[in-house]
Amino acid sequence: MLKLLELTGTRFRKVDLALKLVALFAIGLCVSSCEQLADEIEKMHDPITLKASSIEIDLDDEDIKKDIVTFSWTKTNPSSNTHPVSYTTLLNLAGNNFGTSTTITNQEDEGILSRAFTSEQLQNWAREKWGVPGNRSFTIQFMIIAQWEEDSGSDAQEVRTVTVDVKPAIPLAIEADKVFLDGTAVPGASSLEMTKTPENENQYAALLNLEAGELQIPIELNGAKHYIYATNSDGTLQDGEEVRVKKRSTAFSWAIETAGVYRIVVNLQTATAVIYSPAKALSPKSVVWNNSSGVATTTEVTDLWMHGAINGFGTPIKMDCAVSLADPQILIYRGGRTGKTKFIVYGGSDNNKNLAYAFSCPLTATGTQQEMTLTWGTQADLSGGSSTAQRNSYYTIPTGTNFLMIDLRNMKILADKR
Amino acid sequence: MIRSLLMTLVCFLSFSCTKDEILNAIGQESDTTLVKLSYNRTTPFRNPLNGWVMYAARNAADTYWDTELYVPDLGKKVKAIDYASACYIRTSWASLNPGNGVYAWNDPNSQLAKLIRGAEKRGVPIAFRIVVDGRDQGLNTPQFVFDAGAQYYLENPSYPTWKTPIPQDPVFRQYYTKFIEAFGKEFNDPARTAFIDGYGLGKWGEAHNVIYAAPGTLTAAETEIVKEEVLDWVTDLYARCFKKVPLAINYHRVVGHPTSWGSLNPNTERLLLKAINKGYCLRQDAFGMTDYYQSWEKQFAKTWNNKRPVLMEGGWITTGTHRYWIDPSGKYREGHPEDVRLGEFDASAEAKVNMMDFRVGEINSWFEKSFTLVQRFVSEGGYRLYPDQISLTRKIKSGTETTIIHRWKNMGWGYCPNNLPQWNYKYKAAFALLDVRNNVKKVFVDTNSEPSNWLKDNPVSYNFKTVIDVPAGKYSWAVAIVDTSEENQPGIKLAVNNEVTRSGWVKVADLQVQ
Repeated sequence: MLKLLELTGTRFRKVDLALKLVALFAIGLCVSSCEQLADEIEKMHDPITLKASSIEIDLDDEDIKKDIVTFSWTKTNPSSNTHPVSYTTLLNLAGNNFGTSTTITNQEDEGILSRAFTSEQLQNWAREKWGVPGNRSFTIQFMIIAQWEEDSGSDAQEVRTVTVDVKPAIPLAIEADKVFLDGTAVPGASSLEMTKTPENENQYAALLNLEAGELQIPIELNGAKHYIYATNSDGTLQDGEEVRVKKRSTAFSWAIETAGVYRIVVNLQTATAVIYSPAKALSPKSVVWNNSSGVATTTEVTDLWMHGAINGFGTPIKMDCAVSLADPQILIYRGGRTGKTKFIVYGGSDNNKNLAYAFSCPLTATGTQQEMTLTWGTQADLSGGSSTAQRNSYYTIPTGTNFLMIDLRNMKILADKR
Repeated sequence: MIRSLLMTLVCFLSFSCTKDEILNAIGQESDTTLVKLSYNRTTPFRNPLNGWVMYAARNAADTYWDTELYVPDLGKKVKAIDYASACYIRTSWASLNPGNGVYAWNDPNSQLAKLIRGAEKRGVPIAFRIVVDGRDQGLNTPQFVFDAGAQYYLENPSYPTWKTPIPQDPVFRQYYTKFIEAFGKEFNDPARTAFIDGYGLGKWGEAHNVIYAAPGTLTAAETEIVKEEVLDWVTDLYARCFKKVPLAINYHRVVGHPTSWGSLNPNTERLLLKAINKGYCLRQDAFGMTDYYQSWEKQFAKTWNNKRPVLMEGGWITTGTHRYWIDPSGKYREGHPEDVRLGEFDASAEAKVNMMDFRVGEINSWFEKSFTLVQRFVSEGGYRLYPDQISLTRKIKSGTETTIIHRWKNMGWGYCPNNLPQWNYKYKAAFALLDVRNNVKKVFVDTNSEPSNWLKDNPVSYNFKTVIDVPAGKYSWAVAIVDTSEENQPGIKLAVNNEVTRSGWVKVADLQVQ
């Protein structure tokens, strides 16, 4: 039969009418023959197989950008190959049921049969998307969904899931009684002790003039001296970037290329450090609002005032916030005033107090004002603006609150009793 | 009659036979194979006049191009430039031409030269807008031009250096012409320059609020005359100096007019058409601003879709100076730049734009809050070309003719602007024979193929007959879209996952030449 087809094919190019008639005769033979061929090649359906490179992994904080787990799968093999198959992969924390807000989704190209993730990715998603404490093990689920259209027009799909247990890179927290700054970059003969930040007792910060030279961060624990060092670093300053740190007994130095005011933040609990050079200096938040004369006013926020039911809408209450050494956009209030309030950037008693840029609770989904109550120990979202809806939105600070952290960079607020 | 019989046969066969049998029946060689290429939907390929444009401030250090941003969806930082096809510098005439005959690009120590070279070093072409208007940005035209006697308008006497030149003035024209000629001599090179905004007058160079005289000096009729004469002059100048690099002009209802907003000027469409006929692409700098980008702008873009590419720039600045939440659409919430990003994306999709912007400042929210849209534009925007199937022979006698049937798809909403006069249809589908070391031994260009005709949801097929005139031996077939003005080197990256040689050819199948 195939020979006959080749023959007819050749003769068609020569436009031979006689053989066209032979071809017509061939149709009948061909149809029956091809039906038989179709029967012969009818495939058994091959299901997808999915596997992980390991079902237990330890995150690697020395080489965080290296793939730590790879999921690979085989192509599905639908009974008909006339319809394309699309592959979607999903990754989530086990127990999240692949909810959309926490799932990492990828549409995989045809011919791609694996997807890998690095320690850095899993670590970041665990912390940010899945809310896993940094020192806790967790389990991830990876799913592949193959979808295609059957000849009948109906949709078909195959789903496979695999689970992997993940251990964090190290026991993250670093124990220390004191944290210092030392090295040739630190002016003066002796080392400087860093202070704890008011918002986090596991975090130390300093804002100081450094000279060009070497910067070390020694720690003291039970009288013994250790040094903090950056994993994945040769001492080159990763300006303004949070780096993972560990402790060791030998000195480790960051290279300070240019003199100037540097901000150094060390968090022992998350074992991270950030060094900001003058080029990446953090600035207070700056906001723009229209005053009562309709003039656009820019305000650099270094303190806030309470305004609302809390002051009977009278003269705003100056909060005298402490500014965190870790970030000038983190303001700490320990004044103890409680009640329903917004936090405004203007302290005068004139009408501008009602028009000033205000921080308070987020607006409703439809953009209208609302009022919410803070809960001790639970970080809440903060929203800022000078729209009418924002200016008419309020938070209630619970009675007994003596600690209020307002994080204008991440737009979070925390009330607590400490 | 014969055709009918043949069609009947093919029809029957297609219901019941394999593809090889069908190919045989329609006259293909028995050794013909049908190759289906594997489509790549996510990789950001750097293709000309397509994709994201990364902006830098005129005084930025060249390391700005290495800016990394954290993408929550990826759980890691990425380099923005890895997603960009062009680097854009919007700068002043004065900064590029600080003295008569002195050009910043010739001074390796100048900040601008470093910035330009920094983009080139990273393998990304540069794009420019040159601004001359000084009203709210300071002295954008070199002082030596005014010292030579060029007339100017000073809007605010409190800022005596914020001069705006009068574009009809012969002294201004003399020096501006000299500058653009030198600029063209340096940058009229498609390998290093992505596009040039080829108007540059008016506020921020956006072709509105153009100063021709002190307010109230010219009558409405005089304004229309001078406006057209200036547009003709400046577009002629740029078109003469940039014959190989695409040019762009802003489209809005008051192009070239001394106002920034108003009803459609009766001459606007005619003036834009003049620029378009000189090869200009379209750009708009108010995407997402629904009070500025309205029905006329939408309709104008639609009229020119698939005839001229549209370049997008967002209008709202979400990082401090604009109150974007008052946009009449009501879709933007204060404190939610991602709402604006979505508005810009949706408007870009409607206009079928080829390029979108990573403006300074705004770039953060694209990556940190709207990365899905960044990726969607890579996958869905501009043009994204690949041959989804190619039928070619696997065995042939040297010196004989073969037919390659190739079908092309464009997965993006835009189009490949091969019809621009500056490109002059230089991109063509081509096939190469590679030896075992992937050296190109022969290139066959299908001159009938036309990438600007490949539009979304409309695959285009070609039957390409050619003689295989290479010595007997083993070869690999490879496919590319070549630049016929550059000795048929691959010029546009194909959206496939198949093996690509170092020189840019996509390997398709083996060929035995006897």
